[in-house]
Amino acid sequence: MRAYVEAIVRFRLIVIGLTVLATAFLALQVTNLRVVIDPNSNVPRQHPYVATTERIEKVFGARHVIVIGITPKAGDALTPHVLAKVQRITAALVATPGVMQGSLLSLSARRAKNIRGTAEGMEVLPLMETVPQTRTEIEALRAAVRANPVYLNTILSRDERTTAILAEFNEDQGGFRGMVEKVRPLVERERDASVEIVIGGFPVYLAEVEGYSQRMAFLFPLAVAIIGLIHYEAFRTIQGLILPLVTALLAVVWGLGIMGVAGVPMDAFNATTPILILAVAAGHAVQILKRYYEEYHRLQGDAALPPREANRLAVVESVTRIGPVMLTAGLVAALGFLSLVVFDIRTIRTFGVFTGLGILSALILEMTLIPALRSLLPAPGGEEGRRERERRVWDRITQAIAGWVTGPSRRRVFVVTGCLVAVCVGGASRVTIDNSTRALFFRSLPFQRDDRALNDRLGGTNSMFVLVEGDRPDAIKDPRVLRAMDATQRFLEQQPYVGKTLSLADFVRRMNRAMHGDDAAYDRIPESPELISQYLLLYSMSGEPGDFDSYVDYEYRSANLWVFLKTDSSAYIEELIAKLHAFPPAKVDSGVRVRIGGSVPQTSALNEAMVRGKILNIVQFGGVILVIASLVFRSPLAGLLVLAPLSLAVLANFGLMGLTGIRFDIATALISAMAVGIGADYAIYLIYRLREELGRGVDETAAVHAALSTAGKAILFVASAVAGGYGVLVFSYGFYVHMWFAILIASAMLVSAFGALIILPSLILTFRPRFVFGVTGGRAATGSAILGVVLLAAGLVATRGEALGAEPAPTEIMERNFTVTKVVDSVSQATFTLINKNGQERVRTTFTTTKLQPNGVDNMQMVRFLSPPDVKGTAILLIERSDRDDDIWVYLPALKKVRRLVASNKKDSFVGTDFSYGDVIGHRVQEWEHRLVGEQVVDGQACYLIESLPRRDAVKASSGYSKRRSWIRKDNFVMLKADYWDLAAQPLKTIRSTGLQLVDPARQKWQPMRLESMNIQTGHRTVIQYETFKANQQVKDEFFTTRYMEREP
Amino acid sequence: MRLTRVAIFLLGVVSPAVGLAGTLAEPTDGEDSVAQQLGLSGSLRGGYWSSSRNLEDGEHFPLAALWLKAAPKVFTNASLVLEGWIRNQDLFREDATEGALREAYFATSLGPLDLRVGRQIIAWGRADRINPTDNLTPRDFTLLVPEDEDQRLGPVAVKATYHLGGLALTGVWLPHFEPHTIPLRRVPGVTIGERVPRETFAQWAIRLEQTGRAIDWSLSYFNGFDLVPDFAIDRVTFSSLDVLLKYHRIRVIGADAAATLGRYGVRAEAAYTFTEDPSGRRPQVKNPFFFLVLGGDRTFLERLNVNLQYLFRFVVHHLSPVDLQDPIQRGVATEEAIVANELDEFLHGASLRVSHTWLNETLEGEVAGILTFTRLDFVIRPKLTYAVTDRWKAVVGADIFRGERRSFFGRLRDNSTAFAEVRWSF
Repeated sequence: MRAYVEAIVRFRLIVIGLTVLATAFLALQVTNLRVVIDPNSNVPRQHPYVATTERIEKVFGARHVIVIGITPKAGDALTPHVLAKVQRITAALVATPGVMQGSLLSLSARRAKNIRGTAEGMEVLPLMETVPQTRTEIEALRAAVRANPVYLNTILSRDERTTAILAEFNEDQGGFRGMVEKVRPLVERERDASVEIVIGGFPVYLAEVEGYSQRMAFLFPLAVAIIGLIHYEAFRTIQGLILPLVTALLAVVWGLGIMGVAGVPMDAFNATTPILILAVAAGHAVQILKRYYEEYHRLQGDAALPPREANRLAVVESVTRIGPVMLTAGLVAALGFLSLVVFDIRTIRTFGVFTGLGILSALILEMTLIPALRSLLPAPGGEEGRRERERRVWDRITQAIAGWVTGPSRRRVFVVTGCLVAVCVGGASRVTIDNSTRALFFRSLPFQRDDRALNDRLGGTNSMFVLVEGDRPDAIKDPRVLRAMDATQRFLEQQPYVGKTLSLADFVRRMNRAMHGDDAAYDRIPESPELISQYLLLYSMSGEPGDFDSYVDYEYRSANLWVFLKTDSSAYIEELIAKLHAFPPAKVDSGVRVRIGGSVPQTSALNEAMVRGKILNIVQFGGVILVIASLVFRSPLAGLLVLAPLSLAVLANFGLMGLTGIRFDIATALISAMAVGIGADYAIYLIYRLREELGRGVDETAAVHAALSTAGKAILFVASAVAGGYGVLVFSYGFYVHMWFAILIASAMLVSAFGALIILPSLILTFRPRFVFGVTGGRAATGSAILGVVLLAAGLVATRGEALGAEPAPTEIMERNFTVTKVVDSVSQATFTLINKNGQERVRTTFTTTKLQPNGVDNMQMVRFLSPPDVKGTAILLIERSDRDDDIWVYLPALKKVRRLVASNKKDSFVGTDFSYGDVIGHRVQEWEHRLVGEQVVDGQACYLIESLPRRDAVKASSGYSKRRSWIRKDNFVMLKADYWDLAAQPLKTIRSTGLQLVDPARQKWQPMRLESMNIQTGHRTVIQYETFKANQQVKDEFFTTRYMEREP
Repeated sequence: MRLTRVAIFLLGVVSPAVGLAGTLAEPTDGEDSVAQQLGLSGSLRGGYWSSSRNLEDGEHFPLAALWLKAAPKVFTNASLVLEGWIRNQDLFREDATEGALREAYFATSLGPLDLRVGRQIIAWGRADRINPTDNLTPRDFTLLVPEDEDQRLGPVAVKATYHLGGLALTGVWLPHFEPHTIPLRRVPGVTIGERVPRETFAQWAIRLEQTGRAIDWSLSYFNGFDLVPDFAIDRVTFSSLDVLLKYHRIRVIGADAAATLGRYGVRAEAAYTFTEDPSGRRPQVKNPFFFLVLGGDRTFLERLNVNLQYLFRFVVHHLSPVDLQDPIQRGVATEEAIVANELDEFLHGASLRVSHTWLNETLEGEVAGILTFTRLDFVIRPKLTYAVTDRWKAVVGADIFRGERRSFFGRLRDNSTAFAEVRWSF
């Protein structure tokens, strides 16, 4: 990691240039992003409501209905003045593209017919061909409407004060706003002081959703600006203001760009997802920034480095330290989100992919652009640094928390948390699952008032359809079917919020009555099917072919029953549908099938699918986080601990919703799914920092204080900033969605932050898991470590006084050390155990042959892996060359062939272990400057302590060491211990060798049977344990050919 | 129902094998266990693939597989190797269970002579993954495995190698022919038959190779049947078209070399293939062609390996299938040209493979891609492998094919897939 960051810093201009190019490229790709607007494209097609709605739309039209209501200020609606307006608006709508002319309904529409019985039969005439001018004409119209009750409460209110025009629209390029914008000028023309004209219907609301959502165009930048300002307040530096936002915004652009390249479509539900990416990306950026300042102050203060050098080293140190943690935390979250691609619902897939890509982009940027940029920026000035280190409210909060967690108050933390959880569970149990587009807005808004007025005066602006399907042509003409439809209508009309129903049965009743001299006794469905057929035939003779298109199909096989509703609540509609299914006449009794569809049930289906989908989304995300975190930390408990702040955030959201009455609908489901993703990294950062602090050997109280004042403070910064930033949405007047957003996101941020800061350390200190304390072996181990230090110090003191006397020169010591393990040839079997800082082991056994080449310096070495199964059969042939690069071949059983490899750098890891190739081959004595710095006792043996510095930079670069210290046994010159420093002069690793065996007594050659290399920076270590080691075995040269590599061991 | 089938598969096929492996692996009183004596190893694999690799538009394939290898220690100076797999590529279908014996050979050494007889994988070529001289071993390109090499299926062969210093002369005789299995889209009205050559015993190859010096190189010659089929029109009626996959004889002269130049590994491989249509007049037989791969790799920052190769292909007497008059012939010849990558006279392309390891080589990420400059079709294959423990390994990855339909990779667009596999090795 360090080498990587150093390379980034060295080639910073190239890195910045490439990032700018990549950003430009991806920004251009954003234009290729396909956006899916139709919310119904997310509805599962197989949902019965959706299938029925599609069928109804196919057969009967009926899609998006806009209702225009005209009410005169005085008197009723049947006046020449009002009726003229109706006629003009109707005529204009007929000429408007997108309006389905055949289903346009108003007093002057061609479809609105007056059915009358005459001596000759039946007369079907338009209700209003011309605008009536005289009182007689008006009264005739009034009588006609009253005689045809189908129009009452649909196009004329029962009190006759309001008349309505119902226009159906096809899909519009301009979305719902496009539809409404087409209607609005027609209406505006007709407005005057004498009438009130209002527009209502589902499309109006969806248009308003579109309009209000566009507020994000200025609310989002405002939120971003506030986040920046809060970061500035926290860091008091310009970098703190700008850099996290640069990462976050570029991550959003990259995420969108990659989706553009990959052809993943974007949809309306994901318009708010950038907020999540922004929050997560800023979270990572702030962690690194915080660490950067910490390292910078340390380097400048402790090491007294010049600002420029301190800046460079601080960049390297901070990314080296935090980089792996960030990658872990980021990848955990990204994988969690990307796992959502298995979902059936497209928007959830998009949500997962977009967020996952955004987080990955943030990680890439934080690992490339930001360190490069930061190393280019001037080092923080004295004043800036002082401000950053000033002790302020953030410190007081984190230190107070540290006090509670480590002190006797910890029990209180659990009690308070338990109470809050109980309150939230109580609240969550009260959450109502209901979706209503109307409930997204303030009731006081003008369009809400208009819609309420229409609903009060007429049948309702929301529609539901009952589809009646027969199994044969003319099935609908069956009197039993018509009677059942009629009975169903009457039943529905008794239900609350049902304002009107309409079907072919209404027309047949009207025809029956008209044909019987308008006798009210005949206002019913006739008994005889023949009679019904005759009525319909008579109607067709004077009516128009398309008159019944909205109610029955051409073959009379299916009928559509319109239900006008005064509400769009999905909970209500479910209740109504349940009642309808229980109503006996609605059940099948004559070969017909009854199904439900329409805009409100479809939205209810969407709600059901989205709510269920998002809950599953939350559960799956949590599950994936649990699994991955368990794997990363190798502990299921770790998975649970990482999950704890997230679970609390989600629970708090549900609790808040239940307590405040916010409904669980499509919008809040989306917010809850976002809430679960925000805090995933907090816990990981804190756990890693806690482990790092404990790894230093400090006690747990100090470790918790240190972790909270560093990583914890960064968590607090970012949570406050994001909560504050999105808090501005609470001022989005009129639109509840934005306000819920503000409340719920802020609650999720703060709860997950405090969950990570308070509850997580409390749980860790209570349960003392091995994956945290294992590093130091817990409380007891800390004690033994201290004892060890004391003993070591005692040893040092004891040996310090020994005289150095006449001893060999340091170079000679090192030369003898170099050759003491070089045997003529050897055959050995060894076990390599690789152990990470969690104690997780990987074991590989090897069979090795070596042979010294005739020059007496270079070795030949064949290493064959015997286990584990996945590398079994792999063989590596290494021929050392003093005069040029070594030759290396590898045989991989999977490839079935030998490949030549480029010689490794001396500093590269030897087959994935903590030994470098240089450590294995040996560091050439003459390339180093050696100095005897003392003598010490190691493992009871007197040793020379030699300090070796590279003579040239090339040696330093190729070995990867800036300094070595070797403890060489005085009696046989075998190295028992060596310490290594990396290129930044930081302690890197320690190698110990034990179990010495004299393997070639004649030549006095020794071999340590156990070698251990411990990387201090990563906590990873490798133990090589030789089971057998035999020298002078007359090993043949043939063993060191590629021919032997391919053989089965 | 599906769960039941999965359960049946797991219980019926996989668990006895695991049980057997587990039982055999039990050590007995310090002696080698039976498993050790049999040299038994293998892996159990469970995975998920979002798409098949046979252009059938199939989606969502959960799969399970058992890979077994046995190398019993029967002889001191000889070895017997058996390797094969049993797998179900679609746990939703019981009949998707199949098995294959990849290798079953006897090998011995007589002084400088190495002899290997039986079913064996012979992988030639020093270029990275794209090998013009690799013409002896068929592959099943439709097999859902994360590693390409696992698609190989050893042919029956006798192989003898004579070593002299760093030189090795290899002769191979292949008495039996098995072709590649390639993805073919089923088109309504078109039936696809196959005619595998009968007199296959006269297939042989020879190779002279040097390793161990500054440059590794080889020269090779192969005379045998083409593993990639040619498409012949068998029968045309008003409503149907019968296409026959035929395998014609080819002769391939090839050479390769690999060396290191400082921090760079350099590789080159080229082959000239003579076909049964030397003058390029038969649209249903491949034309002779020359194929060159040239490139190198370098490891940066210790763990980031970048491998870049230039690809060049030249088809002799090239005739564009699009120019054929007969529409049916044109269609079939075009499809053949796409499959054989002979659509254009000159093909220039590049392959790039970038890999990185982390966490002491337990986590490996790789992105490999091939792009042809001629038609700008390409494949990108990201892959992430994590060794959870020494035995448990998880792989996730994807194959993304893009390009116009009438191009080598564009044709495979519907084979684009994402996959995940968990592997337990024993």
